[in-house]
Amino acid sequence: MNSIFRYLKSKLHVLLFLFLEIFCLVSIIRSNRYQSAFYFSNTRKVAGKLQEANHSIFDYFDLYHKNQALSNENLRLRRQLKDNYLIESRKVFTVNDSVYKQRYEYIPAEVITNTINLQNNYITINRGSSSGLEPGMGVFCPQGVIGHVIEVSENYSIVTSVLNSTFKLGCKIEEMSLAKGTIHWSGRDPNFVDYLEVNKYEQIKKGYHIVSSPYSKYLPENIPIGTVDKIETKSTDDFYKIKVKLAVNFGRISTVYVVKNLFNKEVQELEKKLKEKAQ
Amino acid sequence: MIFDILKYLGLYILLIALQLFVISNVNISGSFSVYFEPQVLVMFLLLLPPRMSHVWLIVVSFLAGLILDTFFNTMGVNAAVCALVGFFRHYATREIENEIASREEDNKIWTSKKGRPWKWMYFITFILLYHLVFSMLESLGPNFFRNFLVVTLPAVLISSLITFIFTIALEDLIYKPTKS
Repeated sequence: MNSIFRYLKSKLHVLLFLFLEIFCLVSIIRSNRYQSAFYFSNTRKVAGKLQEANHSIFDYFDLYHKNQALSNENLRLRRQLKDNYLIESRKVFTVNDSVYKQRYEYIPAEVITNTINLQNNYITINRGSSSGLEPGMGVFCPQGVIGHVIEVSENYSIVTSVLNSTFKLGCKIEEMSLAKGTIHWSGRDPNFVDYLEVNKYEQIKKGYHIVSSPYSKYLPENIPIGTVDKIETKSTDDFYKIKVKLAVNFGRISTVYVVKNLFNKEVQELEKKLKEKAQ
Repeated sequence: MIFDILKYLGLYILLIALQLFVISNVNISGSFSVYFEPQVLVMFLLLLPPRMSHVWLIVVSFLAGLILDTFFNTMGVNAAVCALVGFFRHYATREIENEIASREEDNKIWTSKKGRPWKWMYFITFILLYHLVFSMLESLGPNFFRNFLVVTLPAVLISSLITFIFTIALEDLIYKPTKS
């Protein structure tokens, strides 16, 4: 017995090394990198404070671009105001008696860390469960789609960026009003994504705008994704190979909006009922 | 002893700050940004005292990586690579341990005394190992094999070269030759 202990003691470094490596590999390979909620929420407080300090220093230098993005967005919204439209006919007027229900609510947040040089990029934002954030919520900025929330602590959240090999999003071609295909990042260039699953018989042209699909549960329709940059066709393939230039410069994002779909719970319950019925 | 611990703690904080405040804010636009991911924490692991016990070396390396992981949302990647470097580094510095075991002062800044060829070889080997394993673990996903030769390998070489230059500069900066 003693000799076994002595042997194990002499190999302690190897055992420790193997134990730590297995621990790390399990946590990396499991698709949810933040499985340990306790670890996440506790360490995030310290890391979040430092990241916020870093953000506040460098945010100052980006004020010019931030202002420009906001004023462009203001301009776009101002153009939609009722005051801009002239009522041409006074003889006939329609009474719109539809009841509008608010579907989406937007929660503004600041990006405190962001990477674009890794193969699986994540973004940390300074809003968490205390602001009503939940995993799965869509995130966008004035220029376009950013990603979706993957993990939430009390005051911070992690967002899976479009520049992540696991991210996929349903799209629509604005000019054709065609909701088809998904976008996916190949991991090579942070300015471009691949637009997949579009049949060769569709008349797509360079410069067409790709926006979010109306069928997304987490993002409103028509949020810009990018523009078609290159279209390739292979005779053996039924689909186009399309490169889309992203509308968002991911190296420069700072203010984002998190989308809260107010009907999401209702839809989920309905889907759950259907599943239960099927079983 | 306490002074030494504080010194290494200072070095660790300096490298974390360098990674967080400087390197992650270097905004290289365009397709080149995926090739720029120097991981300067490896310098800390390479400059730890040669006389540290093997078990402690693994534990300290693992913790150093784990803390870095919380800042960069790379849960477990840095910790795994740091533990690996800590484990193998012991075999590279074992001889030095025996050589200078009796001289306390040599335990502090020791790489400068080993001569340039050994030092460069030591730095290059472990910096390449760190970046190669880091990039491979980090890029685990659907594009892993497709991007290995086009993105991962060039990124490892470019980032390793940048980290190597940083390491040589840092080592020269903290090493003050004593007048004999």
